[in-house]
Amino acid sequence: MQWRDLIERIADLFQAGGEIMIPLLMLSLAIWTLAIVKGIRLMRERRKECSPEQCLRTFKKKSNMCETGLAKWQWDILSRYMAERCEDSELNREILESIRMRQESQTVRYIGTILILAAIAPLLGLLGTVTGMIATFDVISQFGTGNARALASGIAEALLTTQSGLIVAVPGLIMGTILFHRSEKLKSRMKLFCIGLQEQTDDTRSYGE
Amino acid sequence: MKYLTLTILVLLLFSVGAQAQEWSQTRQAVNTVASAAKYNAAKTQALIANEQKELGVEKATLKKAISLKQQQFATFKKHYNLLLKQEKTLNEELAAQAQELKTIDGTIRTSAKQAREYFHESLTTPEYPERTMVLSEMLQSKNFPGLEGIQKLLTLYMEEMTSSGKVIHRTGSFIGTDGTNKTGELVRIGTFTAAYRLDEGTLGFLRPTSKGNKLAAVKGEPGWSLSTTMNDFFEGKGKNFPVDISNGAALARLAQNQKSLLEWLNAGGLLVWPIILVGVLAIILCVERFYTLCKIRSNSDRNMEKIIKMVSQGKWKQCRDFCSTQSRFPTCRIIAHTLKYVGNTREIIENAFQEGLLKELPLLERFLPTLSVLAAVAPLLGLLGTVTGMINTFQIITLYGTGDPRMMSGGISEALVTTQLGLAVAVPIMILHHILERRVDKIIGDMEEKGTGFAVALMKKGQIKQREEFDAVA
Repeated sequence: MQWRDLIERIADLFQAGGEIMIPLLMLSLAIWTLAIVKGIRLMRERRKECSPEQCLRTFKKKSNMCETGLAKWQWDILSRYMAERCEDSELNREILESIRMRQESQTVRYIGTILILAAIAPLLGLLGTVTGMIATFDVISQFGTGNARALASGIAEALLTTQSGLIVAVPGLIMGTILFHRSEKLKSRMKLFCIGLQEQTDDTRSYGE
Repeated sequence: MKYLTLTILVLLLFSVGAQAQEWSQTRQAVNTVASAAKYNAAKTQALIANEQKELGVEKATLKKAISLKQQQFATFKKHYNLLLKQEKTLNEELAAQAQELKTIDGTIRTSAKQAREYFHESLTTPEYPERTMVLSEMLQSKNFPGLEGIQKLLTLYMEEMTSSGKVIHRTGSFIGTDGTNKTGELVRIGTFTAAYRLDEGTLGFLRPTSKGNKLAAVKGEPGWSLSTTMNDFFEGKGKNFPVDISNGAALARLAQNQKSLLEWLNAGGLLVWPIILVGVLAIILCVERFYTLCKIRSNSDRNMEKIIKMVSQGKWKQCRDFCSTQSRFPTCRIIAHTLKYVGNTREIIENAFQEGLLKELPLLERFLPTLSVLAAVAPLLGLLGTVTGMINTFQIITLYGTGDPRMMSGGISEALVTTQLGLAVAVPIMILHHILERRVDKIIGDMEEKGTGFAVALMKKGQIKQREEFDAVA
């Protein structure tokens, strides 16, 4: 019963807010989906990360098995690097660099989108406000200021959309910033990992020879 | 006179007697004369007394008559005064009654006027064409409406009451949106709503004209859902019909809501046009960018595979040809540029690749800064429009005061429409710009990756010399 009440209230709000509420809802859904997916991925990867040494060891043991126990980015870097590696250590560094760049671009993926969407939400809210005010003034030009009931619907639209725009934007901005910091940290860990990896591989080779 | 003649006669006799004969004779004559005179005097006195007596009687009767008349006069005067008083009160009464009559007349006329206004607004009037005649007759100032008029007015209102409780479906004529007379099915629901349906299927609402004797179509189409309900009702299938309980205001809004795009833009004033210009420009740039970038992305992987294959097989000539034929794609152009330096040290090849990349970058990122500027400019132009509109509004307020909100609505609608348009233009541009920017970033990352891949391929093929080797050859 309570759920139904809640849904009814939300539906009422939507009706009062007018057409702008639909893009706002979509925007909000997009922001939350992206943020949750991204956040879960970052958290999970963080837990699975291990040192380059360990990684190499696991890789050598089960090189043709699927990634087990390793973070996805570590596995990606490792497998590609192992496949493309050559004798020249300078070139190896270049290769590692380019692999890292690709992984990094994947880390920050969607975060920019979240931030942009969060920035757009208040603009949409403002658009709704203006639409609502236009409706209000239409009513004024027709009935004068006497008919408060007719005025109220336009004003409700104006205020509700602004409110919703801000409600969508603020958590989106906060989440976006948090995720951005997380990904920055992940980037620096990637850099460290790559340096360690190269040291390790160079070392093993020199030991091997 | 009598006495005088008598005395003169006596004196004459006296003197005559004395003059002529003796005293006795004279004495006798005098005595006779005296007695005659005495007799005459007595006679005269009697006459006078008689006359006096008569006069007295006459005077008395006259006096009596006078007093009688006076008495009569007094009573008449009293009566007259009484009548005057009565006249005065009656006059007052008359004036009061005339006043009352005037009030009644005025009241009837006012209510007749009100009735006329009401019936001009009423949807039922076209069904009772005699109403206007009755009302105009009542409103003529010559004749006094009286009880009959009141009765007529009452009948009109009774008619209105009964007909306002009915739903009437009939065929009739009305004035179409284009101003011509049309005939179609009409439906009237009480005094709330009237609607028409033409044979061709056009639906619409009706309002009475300003004179009230005809129905005129309201501009603006009812929406799809309304049309379905109305059609069902006309065909007798449905029992629902949209009703406007606001006495025409909602229908006016229906017409207003469907004002054309151009009208809406015109309401925004001059600043609408630069905003639209910004929007159109942004759309053109976005289309161009999307077209170019999509083409680049879809092909670079496949091309690179072929190139690496050729490089690993050592087919340099074929590789160069392939790159020149595929020079539409930036990756191929960069590789072609790098291929010229095959056989040099890694640094040179890397630099060549970077150079190629730097040449491509402006092509990829072309228009993107413009787009972001446009996205920033659109809401600013909207804001400018807002301010201009508000200035107009306040100018109107200084001229006419705040009495009529309708006067101000021009400036306010200008302010709001420009803001709306500015935002509506800016939001999509922002989203598109973001998408394009991400795509460009991706392409650049892809190219860098391809570059290292190419370098590795060259290296594996032994086409990159170590520095010492290169120095030795040089």
